[in-house]
Amino acid sequence: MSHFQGFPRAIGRPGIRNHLVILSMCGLNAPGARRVAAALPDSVLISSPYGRGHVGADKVFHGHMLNAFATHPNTGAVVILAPDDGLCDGMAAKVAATGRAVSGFSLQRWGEDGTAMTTAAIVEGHRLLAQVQSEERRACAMADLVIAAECGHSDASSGIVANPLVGDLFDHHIAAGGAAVFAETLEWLGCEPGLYARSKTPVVADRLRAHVQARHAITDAAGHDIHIGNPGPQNHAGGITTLEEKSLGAISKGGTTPIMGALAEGEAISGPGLHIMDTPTLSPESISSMVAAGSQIVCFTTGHGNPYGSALAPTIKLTGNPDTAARLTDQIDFDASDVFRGLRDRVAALPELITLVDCICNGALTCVERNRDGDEVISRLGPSV
Amino acid sequence: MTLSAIQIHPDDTVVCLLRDHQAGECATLRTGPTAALRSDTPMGHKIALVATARGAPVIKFGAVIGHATADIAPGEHVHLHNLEGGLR
Repeated sequence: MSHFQGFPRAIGRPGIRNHLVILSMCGLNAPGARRVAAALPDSVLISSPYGRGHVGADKVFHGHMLNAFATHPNTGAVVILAPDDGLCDGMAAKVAATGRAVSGFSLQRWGEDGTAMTTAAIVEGHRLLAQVQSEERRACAMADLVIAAECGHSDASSGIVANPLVGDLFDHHIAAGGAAVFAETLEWLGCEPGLYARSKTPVVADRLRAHVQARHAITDAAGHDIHIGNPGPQNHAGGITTLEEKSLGAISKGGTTPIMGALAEGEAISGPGLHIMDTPTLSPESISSMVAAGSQIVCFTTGHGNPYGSALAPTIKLTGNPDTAARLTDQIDFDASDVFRGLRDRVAALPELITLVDCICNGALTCVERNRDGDEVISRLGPSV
Repeated sequence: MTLSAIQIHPDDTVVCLLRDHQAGECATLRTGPTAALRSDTPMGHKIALVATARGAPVIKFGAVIGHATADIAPGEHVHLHNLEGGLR
């Protein structure tokens, strides 16, 4: 399908959802924001437990991520909860500049009366929710879709079936002019030379190299050697022999096309093609960073199962493990276990996955959405002061 | 036809078993049967699709995952005893 019915935006890519986001900018607002979101079950709560005492790159990153969620393609309107007028009005101005409806509430403006402010935010939230829910879907180009890939709780089926299948989807989407991204720097170890060789330009390869070196520096400084016992006895028992092989299984979800961009954590994806992002390995941090970059949809492969997904970007759960597919029917969107059981070839599963992506872009719900298992998390890049 | 092994990439010199296999069995690929397995080999493990000389690269996911540390015959289990990564 070359088009889907979505939500075109005045600036930037179209959404596949039109969420009202309850954005809590600071831990001081988090409990109140939870009350607002509880009163508006169809809203999406994005709440940082931090917000003051960040310094340097950590402070810049925290602000960037909040802004990226508030102006994400899948965000239709925003209720901001902030501790002070400066933070509140600064964010409200940025959101309004993208053509989205926004209402800001700061404790400072409300005389530090959290109860009154929360009550008012709920009333305003109802108005904005009605507004976003009344907006009709319109034709949007599939080429404007950014697909992210993540893997979690992997097993032998992940590297053999689910990850390469998502890689097939990436290749298909990119051939049609779309963009895609995968991440998790430590999962590239052992196959970095191949990634550098796949980089479209020397600049991209150099950025990838710098990302790998920076993650090594973090682990070295902590006195941790990520190469010891990697792959470990469990990997060996499952049939993984070398580190190259283990990492190639993980990055096979990125498909086979050239790497057009090497991104810092949460950095916006500006063009088509395959991108690769430097992120920590924990799925909540990694997924949120790719969502902040503009991904409207996420493909999350799992071996043993994993209920988590993005709150903003519908997250498709895929498994090749027959037991997982049978056990977690309410949590697996795409069952590729017939490929693992040898009943059909992987190439035969791709059209079905493409159809599922199409349905979800047009509004069909994912398991994560039905189960309300989505969240957004902002990595810390340093300690608070 | 039930497949019992998968070749992830067309360039691969090894294939992955989708179930446990016994020595003497042939695994079934979409393209046909493999050579007979030389030993019992568990699910998820690799067998050689082609003869691989000692020192030659072993390819999976279309990329080099290491080099053979012994001559490997088609159908032979490829693991720690005859494959070594090149980077560590």
